[in-house]
Amino acid sequence: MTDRADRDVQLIQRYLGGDVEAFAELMRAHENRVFAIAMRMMRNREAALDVTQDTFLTVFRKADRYRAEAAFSTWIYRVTVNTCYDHLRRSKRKRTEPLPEFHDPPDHSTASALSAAELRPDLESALTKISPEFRAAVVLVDMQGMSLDQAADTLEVPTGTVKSRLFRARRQLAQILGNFAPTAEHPTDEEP
Amino acid sequence: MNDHDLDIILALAEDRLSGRDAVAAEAHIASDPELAAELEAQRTAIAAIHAAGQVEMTDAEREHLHAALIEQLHLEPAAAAAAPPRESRWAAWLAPLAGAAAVAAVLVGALVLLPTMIGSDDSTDVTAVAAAQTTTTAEAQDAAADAAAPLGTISGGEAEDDGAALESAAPTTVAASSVTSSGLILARDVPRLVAPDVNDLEKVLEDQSFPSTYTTGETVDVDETLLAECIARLDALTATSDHELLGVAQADDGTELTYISYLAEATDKTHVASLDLETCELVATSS
Repeated sequence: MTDRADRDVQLIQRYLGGDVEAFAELMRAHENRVFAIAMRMMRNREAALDVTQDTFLTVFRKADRYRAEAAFSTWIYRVTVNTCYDHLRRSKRKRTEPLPEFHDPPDHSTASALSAAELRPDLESALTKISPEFRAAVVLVDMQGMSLDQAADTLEVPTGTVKSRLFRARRQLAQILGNFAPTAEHPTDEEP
Repeated sequence: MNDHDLDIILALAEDRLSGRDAVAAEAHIASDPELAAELEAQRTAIAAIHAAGQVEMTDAEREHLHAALIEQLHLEPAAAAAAPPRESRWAAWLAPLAGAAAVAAVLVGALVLLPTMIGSDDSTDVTAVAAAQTTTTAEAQDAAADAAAPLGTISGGEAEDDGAALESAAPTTVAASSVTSSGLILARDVPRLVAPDVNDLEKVLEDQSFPSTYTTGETVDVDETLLAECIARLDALTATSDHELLGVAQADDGTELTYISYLAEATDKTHVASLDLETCELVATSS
């Protein structure tokens, strides 16, 4: 295990013993990446914050069941992606239901930083047009820098499936962005 | 395109080849217009993705997140010595109900609002809901997966498409409420789910029609004794306390609590069910 993974195991044990500082350290270690994944998956800041909160609630409530057979980070990012899937499905069913405000809107000083970090509109629009499963492959590998194996562990699918999803996702993105005209036949459209 | 070509295209697009290997691979791909187009598409997408900046929470968002989690996980510094609660999930909701008068902070939760069916009157209005603990479909399914998966390889709750009915039963709206000894006070608007007939519950859950919302500050009276008895019956009925209370529904006369909805996590599928508080029997389920 890596130092981070070892440290996470120690922190989980301390948290289960009632150490609130361990909770805080775990949050600091993983919250940015959890939020980043959620933001790229949901494309909506408020929804991403919802996902982030739900993810940590799930993880901390079930922390006593964690036995370190998989890296804590793998587990939490898996929960993140699956929570995104879940929120996306539910939001699709209830498009008219407004989400509640539960955080303060960013002030002007942070607005520029926020906008600078947003995806280019064309890419952002393109990401909405590919399936959540494809989007997850792109987010984990191309945006979060995970290896195919790490992404496969996180998504609980074979590495070949991640590779296929990634390839097809990029192709679709390029097509949507106007840089690719698909040919009639693509044998790789079938996942391994 | 075969798997070998796919690997070459990915390797080139991700700059994992160099020197003679890269030159040979480029030549191979360039010899086939279709493969060349695929490589160009991969490079275009990667370039666009990498051009995107990183996203981070603002300090205000981070502080809010921490505060919300500390509250919902019962991690108040004064109680730091205690381990995270793993008691019956009913208890956290029921305890404040049994308390005297003070408004107790209750956890942020997802709600399912189920209709009252007193007299099978279609016009009977549902006026009450209560939030218990935070519940998401992902969490519930996660727990369901836990039962089958080895510890440490816990699923994050990935739901399959065929779980649509379950999914539809968990509203996206996250609502907060406070509980007093005399009732439940909604802290913010929440969706309202109305079924014309209890037999239509499953259909309504699937249809996800939310014709209205409850309003902030609405108060709901509950019969604590009846509620406690039925919760105990529910635990016995499902042979587990490892489920989440999603909400309760009440007739518009404000006197009679008729249904509790809940998610049972200890089964291979997550169920949303409605419990008749008069008979303590399940009257409708959706899974």
